[in-house]
Amino acid sequence: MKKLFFTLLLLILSARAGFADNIAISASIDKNVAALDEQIVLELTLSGNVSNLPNPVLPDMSNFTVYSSGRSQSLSITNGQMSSSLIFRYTLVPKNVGKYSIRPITLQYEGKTYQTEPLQIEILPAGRAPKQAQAAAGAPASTAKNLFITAEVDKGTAYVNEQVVYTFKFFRRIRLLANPQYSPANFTGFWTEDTAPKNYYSNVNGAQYMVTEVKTLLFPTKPGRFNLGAASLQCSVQDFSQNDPASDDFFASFFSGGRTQVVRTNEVSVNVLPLPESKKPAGFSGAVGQFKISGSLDKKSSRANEPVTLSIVIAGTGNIKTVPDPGLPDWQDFKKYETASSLNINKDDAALKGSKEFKTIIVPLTAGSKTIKPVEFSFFDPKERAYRTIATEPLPLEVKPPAQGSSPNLPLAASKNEVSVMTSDIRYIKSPVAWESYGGYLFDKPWFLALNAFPLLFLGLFFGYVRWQEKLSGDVAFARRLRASSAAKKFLKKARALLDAGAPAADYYNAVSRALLEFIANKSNVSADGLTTASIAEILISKKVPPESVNKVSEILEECNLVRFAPTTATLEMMKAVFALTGETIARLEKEMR
Amino acid sequence: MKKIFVGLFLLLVSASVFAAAKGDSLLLLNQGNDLYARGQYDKAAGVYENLLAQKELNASLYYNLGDAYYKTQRYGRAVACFERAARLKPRDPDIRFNLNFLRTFVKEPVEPFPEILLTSLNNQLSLNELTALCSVFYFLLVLGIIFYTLSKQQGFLIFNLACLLAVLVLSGWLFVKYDREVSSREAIVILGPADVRNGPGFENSVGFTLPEGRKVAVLGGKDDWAAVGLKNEGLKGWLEKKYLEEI
Repeated sequence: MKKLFFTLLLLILSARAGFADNIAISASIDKNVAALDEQIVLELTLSGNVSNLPNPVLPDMSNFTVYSSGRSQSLSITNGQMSSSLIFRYTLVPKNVGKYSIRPITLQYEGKTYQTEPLQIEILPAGRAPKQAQAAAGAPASTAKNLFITAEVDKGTAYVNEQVVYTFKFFRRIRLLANPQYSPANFTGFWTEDTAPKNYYSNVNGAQYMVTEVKTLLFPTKPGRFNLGAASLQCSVQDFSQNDPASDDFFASFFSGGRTQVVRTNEVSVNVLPLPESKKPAGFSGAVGQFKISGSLDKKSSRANEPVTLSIVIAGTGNIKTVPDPGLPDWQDFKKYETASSLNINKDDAALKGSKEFKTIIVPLTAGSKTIKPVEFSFFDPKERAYRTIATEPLPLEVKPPAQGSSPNLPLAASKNEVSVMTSDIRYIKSPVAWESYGGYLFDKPWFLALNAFPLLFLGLFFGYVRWQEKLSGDVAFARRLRASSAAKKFLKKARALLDAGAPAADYYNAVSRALLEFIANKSNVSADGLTTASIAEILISKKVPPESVNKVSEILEECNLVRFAPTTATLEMMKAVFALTGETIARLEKEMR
Repeated sequence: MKKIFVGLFLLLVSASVFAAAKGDSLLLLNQGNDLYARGQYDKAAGVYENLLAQKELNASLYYNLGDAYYKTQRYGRAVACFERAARLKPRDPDIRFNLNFLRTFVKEPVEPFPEILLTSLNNQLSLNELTALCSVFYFLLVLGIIFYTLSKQQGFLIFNLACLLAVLVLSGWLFVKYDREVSSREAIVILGPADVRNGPGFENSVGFTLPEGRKVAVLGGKDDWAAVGLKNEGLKGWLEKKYLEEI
């Protein structure tokens, strides 16, 4: 039976596995043709019925600079089945002119590989983008620098995990032959989030510049003073150096029609303060920024044993990625399952904003009016320089008695207290203490067959015996006939004893005649008393006994009567002879009387 | 009297010889187990195979050999071993687990539900246990008949009827089991994928292929070829005998 359940379980599990692979991945770009100074937005959409979608692997895109510009995720649980969709947005900045193909983006999940279709992009020279090229051409002021870069941070002092915006600006008013190579500053000690670059025009000291601005969001991971150093940019520009040898910002490296120029930013540093130890809330887990928390249930009323989804959303500004699961308090009335989280990030306006949603399936165990107690979340607000603890509203839940025959439906992976199977393998070899020899089929063994034949044989014998007994008790004639020989022998034995004891001859002959008479009477089922020699002869003849035997019997009986009733003396020889003759006759009659 | 002594002596001698053989087998099995424990699965399999070749076998040996075959990626042979072990000890949970594990591993199709029910019922007793049980009820029936004949008590009549019923049911079951395990032969594909042809010979076209570890019914044979059938798929064809290992 156990095996049966096991097989059923396997069946169910394999069926589940069958539709667990509903993962789809697709990629799209906002334009297939772009100018060198334009940006292309690549949107990658993943969807599937699993909670923890893995991150996709981007192919080698060496012809583009790739910036991640946010992700958004939605998560839903329907009938215990998790489904989620996740959109990653990347900004691609082309490096060179040409036709490029973005190779398939792959996703590995449970040993399977999912991939997108390849995408084609054509990059045209920058001049094709009309307005910008015209504006750049009209830049006159020869006294100003042709290109320079700057770096700045929005604040010089920040708390650990507080956002610092590092802004890199590239000013230029000459034509670049190729896209420049950017060596960023040293961001060691910071969690970084890049944003999409922006291009605009700006007037500096009366000269019109084309500006490329790249903002990097920094989150310090530990306190201390950090020097970010200088970022540098290597550009290939049109060669104006022969006309302008006094230009201070170039290196003498000449090419035909162009030269390479390296520019550096000023050095910037950030002083990172530790978070204050005083008044640190118990549940604080390192979140810094401004956050809000809200909670909701997917239904207002439920039944006991029926799952309800509790969603807790933490939204705000700050390093939302590192916000941990707020953790649900222990509730006696509910059973909790694993929490799945989804993340939405927006990097617009040079600030990391977003929301993280934690969905937990809870199963009310008893009926009644329940309240989901507030879930607390603590963070440090750097603006107010103080810790704050926020909590969800208490959520009412009406729980009705369980439906007939329902048991807790276990839709997702078990909670921490339950067994979790990692891998299944065959079971280990056996080491028996004794060798149990197997000798083949039992029904091939002669001893077994003999053993089984025995009861039948015994049964046959038993029934034969029973029949015999029945015959004996029911048939007197038969019984007497059987007893005849042994009865005769008894009398003969007695006669022999009399002879040996030297008893009177009359007694001896009486015993001998008695033996013969009893034998014949028993054999023919008549009374031995009142039998005469004549009647005996008659009986024997009727039994088809041969005449010589009949004569013998008559002879013996007459000799006996003679000795018994007449005063004749019998010699010892005579007595012995008659004894032998009687014995022989009885033996012969035994065969002849049927 | 002398005869009895001679008989007893012979019995003692044969018993001691038997015991010696048993001790050696256990020793060899443990040798194989040591090799297995050290990860030398190939050598362990060799030791177990030697024991088998000496006709010294039991369920544990088949089970351990099955494990060793699995570890050396000989999945078809492993399935055959576990099948054999399961026939000797049908209620052993480890044997059952490994057999099911490998069946899933080699993607043996799941049997239809009535078949599962029948199989799990059939697997409650080994062939020998069933034979012995049948025999016991037959003895009881004979005894019951004798007692009833002697005593004519109603109770013995009911007892006899129950025994008769048991004998009939068990012998029917024995017949089915005998038919499944002895008369109709089953085999496991030990080399895969194996080409199953539409006739006994390479000149015939390939009808279908069988993966390693699949269980097939052996329907007949001709020279080096065996006719095999797949009940679930309703397929039939000819396969070279070297691809098969009969259970």
